[in-house]
Amino acid sequence: MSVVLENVTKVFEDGQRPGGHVRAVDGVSLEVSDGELVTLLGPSGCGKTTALRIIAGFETPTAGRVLIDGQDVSRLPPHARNTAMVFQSYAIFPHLTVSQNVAFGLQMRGASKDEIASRVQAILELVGLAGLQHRSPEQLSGGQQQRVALARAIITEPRVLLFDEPLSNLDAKLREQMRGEVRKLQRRLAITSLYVTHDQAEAMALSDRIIVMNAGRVQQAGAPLEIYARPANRFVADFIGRVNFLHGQVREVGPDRIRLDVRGRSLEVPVQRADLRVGAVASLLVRPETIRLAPVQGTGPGTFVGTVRRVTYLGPTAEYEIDWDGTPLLAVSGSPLEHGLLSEGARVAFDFPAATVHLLPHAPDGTG
Amino acid sequence: MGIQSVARWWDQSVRDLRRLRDEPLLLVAIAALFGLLLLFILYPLARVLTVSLFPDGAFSLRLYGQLLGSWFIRQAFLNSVAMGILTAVGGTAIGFLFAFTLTRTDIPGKSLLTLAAILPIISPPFVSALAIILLFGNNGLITRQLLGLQEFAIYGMRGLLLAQVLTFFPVAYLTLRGVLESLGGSLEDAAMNLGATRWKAFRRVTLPLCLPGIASALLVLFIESIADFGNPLILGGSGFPVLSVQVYLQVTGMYDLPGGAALAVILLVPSVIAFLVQRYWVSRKRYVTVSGKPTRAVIRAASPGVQWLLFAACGAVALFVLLFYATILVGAFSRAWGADHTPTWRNFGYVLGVGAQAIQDTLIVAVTASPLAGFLGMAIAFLAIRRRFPGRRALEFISILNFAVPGTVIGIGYILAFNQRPLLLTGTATILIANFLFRYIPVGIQSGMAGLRQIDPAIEEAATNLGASTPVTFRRITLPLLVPAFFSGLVFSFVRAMTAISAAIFLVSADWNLMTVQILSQTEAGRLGAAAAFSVLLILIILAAIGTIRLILGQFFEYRYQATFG
Amino acid sequence: MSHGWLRYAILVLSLLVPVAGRAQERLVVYSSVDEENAKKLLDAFSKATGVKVRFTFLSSGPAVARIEAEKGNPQADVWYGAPSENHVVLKEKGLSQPYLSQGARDLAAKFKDPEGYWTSFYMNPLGFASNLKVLEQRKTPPPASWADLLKPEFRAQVQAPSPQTSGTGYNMVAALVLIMGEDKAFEYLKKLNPSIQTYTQSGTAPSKAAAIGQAGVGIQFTPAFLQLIEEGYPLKITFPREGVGFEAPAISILRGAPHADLAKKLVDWSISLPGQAVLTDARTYFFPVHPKAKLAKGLPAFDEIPTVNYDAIWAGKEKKRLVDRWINEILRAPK
Repeated sequence: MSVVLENVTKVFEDGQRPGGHVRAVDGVSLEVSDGELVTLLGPSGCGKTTALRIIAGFETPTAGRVLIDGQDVSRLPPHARNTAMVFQSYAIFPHLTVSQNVAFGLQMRGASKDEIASRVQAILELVGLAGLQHRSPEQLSGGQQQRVALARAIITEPRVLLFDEPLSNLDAKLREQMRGEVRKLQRRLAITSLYVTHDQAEAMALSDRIIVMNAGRVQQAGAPLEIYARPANRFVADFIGRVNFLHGQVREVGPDRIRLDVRGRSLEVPVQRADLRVGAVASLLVRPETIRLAPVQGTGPGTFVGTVRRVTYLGPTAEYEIDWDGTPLLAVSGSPLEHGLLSEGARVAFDFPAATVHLLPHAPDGTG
Repeated sequence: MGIQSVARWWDQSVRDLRRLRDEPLLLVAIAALFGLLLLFILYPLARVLTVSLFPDGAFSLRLYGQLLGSWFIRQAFLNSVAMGILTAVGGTAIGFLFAFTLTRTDIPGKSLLTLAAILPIISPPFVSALAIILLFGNNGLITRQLLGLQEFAIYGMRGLLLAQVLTFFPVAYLTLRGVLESLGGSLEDAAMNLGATRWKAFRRVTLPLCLPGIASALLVLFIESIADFGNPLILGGSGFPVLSVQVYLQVTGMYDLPGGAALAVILLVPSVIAFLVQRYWVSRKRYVTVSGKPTRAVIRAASPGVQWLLFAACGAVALFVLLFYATILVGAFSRAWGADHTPTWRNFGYVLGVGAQAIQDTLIVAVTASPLAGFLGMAIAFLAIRRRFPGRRALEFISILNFAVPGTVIGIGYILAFNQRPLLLTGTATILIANFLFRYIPVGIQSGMAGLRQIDPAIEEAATNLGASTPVTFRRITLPLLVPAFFSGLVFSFVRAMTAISAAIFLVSADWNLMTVQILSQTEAGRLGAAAAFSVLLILIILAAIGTIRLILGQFFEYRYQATFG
Repeated sequence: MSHGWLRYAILVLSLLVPVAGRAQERLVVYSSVDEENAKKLLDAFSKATGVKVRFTFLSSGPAVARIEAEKGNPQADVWYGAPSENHVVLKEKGLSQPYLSQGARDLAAKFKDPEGYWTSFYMNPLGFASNLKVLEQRKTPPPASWADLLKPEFRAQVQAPSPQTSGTGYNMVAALVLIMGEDKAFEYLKKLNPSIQTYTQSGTAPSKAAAIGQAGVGIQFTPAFLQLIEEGYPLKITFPREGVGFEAPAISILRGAPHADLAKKLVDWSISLPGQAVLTDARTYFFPVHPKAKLAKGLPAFDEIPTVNYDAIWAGKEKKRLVDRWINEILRAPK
């Protein structure tokens, strides 16, 4: 079962300005292949939830098509689509018990009583809720409610499983635990899934692929590693993890390497894009954890020198804010227990492996 | 709106319609609703308008010219508006007093005060006005016996104001209590935490936050007061004519249906203006939409001295309310109410003999109309808030329009619209049921909407997502969750169906008569004790019905709900 | 699918379908006589003649409106009750048909249409009802004349219906015009203003105000007074010696009546001596119109009531003018 959005646009009326309109989703095309878990990632208001709701049928697209398993469902009402959604608020029916909640979808499909009973039993065991059948929802903890919502969604064996920030109401530890369980369950049942979140760590941990959205448009789609290592633009780079932007001038474009001049120092990085010409200014994306720091012991070639302005100790890592001749830089170093902490005000030499640097054309407005 | 937006709107409408095509049952339901609303709300109003505009078969403003040229009618119009404003101010003030005292202080006797603040919703027409005369008239218990006043002029504005404030303040109370409860106490706590005195916290935080609610209560009371018929018929006198009574008398006393229709249209104007202001201006300015559970209110909002002052004020009003009902009770058990108070069962014997049919008819009509009104109200609220289809706003607007239309206007509209084949309904139970049904839908819609706003839409989406069609979602999920709202809507429309008179008086027949009309005719015929006994029965039936409704709903939906009434 | 919904929809729709017509061959009456009395009288009629009756109560305004609306296909045979001037309206609108009953020859001219379009079958005089307790406190006997009401003892003690809104109120003003002449009558009404506590909107409100002691004197048609006395209120009825008006409710047979023959029987019976006797026996408090009919105990003999020769047709023609004059000169005048 695959899900395809073809050039889908959704325009809402703007409640604040009479006659005004908002393009919540703007020409989005995407595909989720059979059994895949794809995450829609973006800041709030980027259109990811609207896209999800269009697939579920809660919103009609202003333009474009939705295909599930090759069938155009754009005009199908939500109840006929056989998608199952796990809601941010869980949306558990407060007047029904746990097993009544889970059984609801099967009842709607006219399953027999016996079948319902046995499948509800099986699914509750699967999600670890056996024995709580007759509880009413308000007697459950947040994590348990989450499991009910999950069980209720998967019991109908939907064509697509849709997650709308399902873990955002849980505390940090439980969130990480549930994240793992969701992934395990999805793999085991091999249900095609689309997962909406604004939490990039969650997206990284869960997804086969990530689709980053902003302002109603798809910014980039790809495997987590690819998106982290080679963001398509400045927005993606900034939104996923943290990043330092350096500027450099292209001096030489070779077949597999580009040489740039960064603050008077020459740097060779692997070629990633063909649109950089000699003389152009490029942005260099340097992830903080790739920066290696060392106390200054004389200046050698290939290293930069800056001053430690601020040190934040986080346990497993330490963050350093470094003033590099007026440009602030962020560096993260691992295991301070082993390496010790630098002190504020210290002069520090730093370096980063050219292979981890990613290039983008320079755009002063920041949109990449 | 530019061409682009029109095109977009058109596009959206077409898409919405297409989707409806795939939910045929929903489409049928919407079409049926539209049909019913057009037939039973817009068509009668249109008939009133046409009859008044085509008095001799040709278009003419003659009737309006004549009526507005009359000093008497102009006076009646001004009186209606003045009365509406004064009742609104007085009733809202007392309503706020009760709402504030009951939510923000810890005085004793709260349950009794709550009862006194709600009981006047059940106010039997005419008999209430008689009780006012017996308490405050020339020979009144309070004016003459207690205060020793001679010739206290009860007729006219003073007596009418008293009666209307007493009758309508509970509506303001219920609105404002809801607002004060949803405000919770944390804002006032925060204000006092920041150094505000109690009075400053009240003036700078509580009151401004209540303003939209207050404005809303004012307008609703204004509409109710303008439409009121029973009180001014008895207490107005010709020295203080009001329009609602003039409409009735124009038709029944002067045999002038077109003139009555024209007056009805004139009466409609201030009412509809107030309605539109309430809907499109005040409700937009609402700071607090009902969203979570009511939090525990602070009880530090008033100093002990002020608390006792509030208690005294509420107590006085409550005493007054109870006295008022005691007066009616005494009347029901007296040989000659107001003259000879020897206890007797005679009145009840008479009422149960002569009025048995009317009691039965009233029950049939009310028991049929109020659940339908409650159910339809919930359905419309659901469709208006949770579904998209072309004409959704129109549906909502038309269905609550009748709230702004005074009963006399509706009554005239109904006899005009339904006295000819193929729509010959006059004289049947159907016309009475339809009248109450469409008259009290707005109550159901309003409470349904308030209820829906408290229910996360995702809960219903989850149901559709799991394969439930719109009707199934409504029945299995929404309706059970709306039980509290449904309950209060049901109770309110039942109470109104039992006590309303202004429209019904045009629609009753020998086959189908109502208790309220019986109360009027017993009053007219001079059997005051019988009228009082009818009223007592009416109140008892309503109280019993509220208990029954509660029991049935509790059983039916197996869902714990908070009672919002009684 | 959801059969519950469907069932509910069907229920709603079925409720909105009007109840189908009932068995025919019954006299169909639109009655403006109050329901209780109409039932007593028409039951007696059925008993006496074997004619079955189905009646619908309609006060006079809605009755005229409905008869007019149905004139293409009349649903009723008879309009029963409502003062004769309303039947004049019906005649003028061409909605009734003439029938000269044999018995009508015994009635005074003011109780029948010369061509037989309508026939009055009972009458009610206008009267004063005094609350004896209130008047005792004010140390005055009940008023015996219109002139008595001008005395200071009756200051703000009198309630009468407004002619602007009530047929009874207009009847009072028209009768005064007949008695005193128009200008004198209005002069009198102006002088009466200090005594008037209020002109009531409804024609039957004054009796209640007098009964419960809110007013000392109420002016209206007598049946409600008699009812209140029966209930035990301390009221006394008097008639002003200068004269009073009266109402004479009538029967009309509707044009195109499906059962005109049965309708004629109702007219015949209503003005016959047995029919007139029922007015008294059934305690309707209505006065018979037949000069030889027996009177109830407590009712003054009809001859003793100083009724004016009230001309309903004249009164109808002058109504708008007199009411306007009343509003402008009496109601607007400072009290």
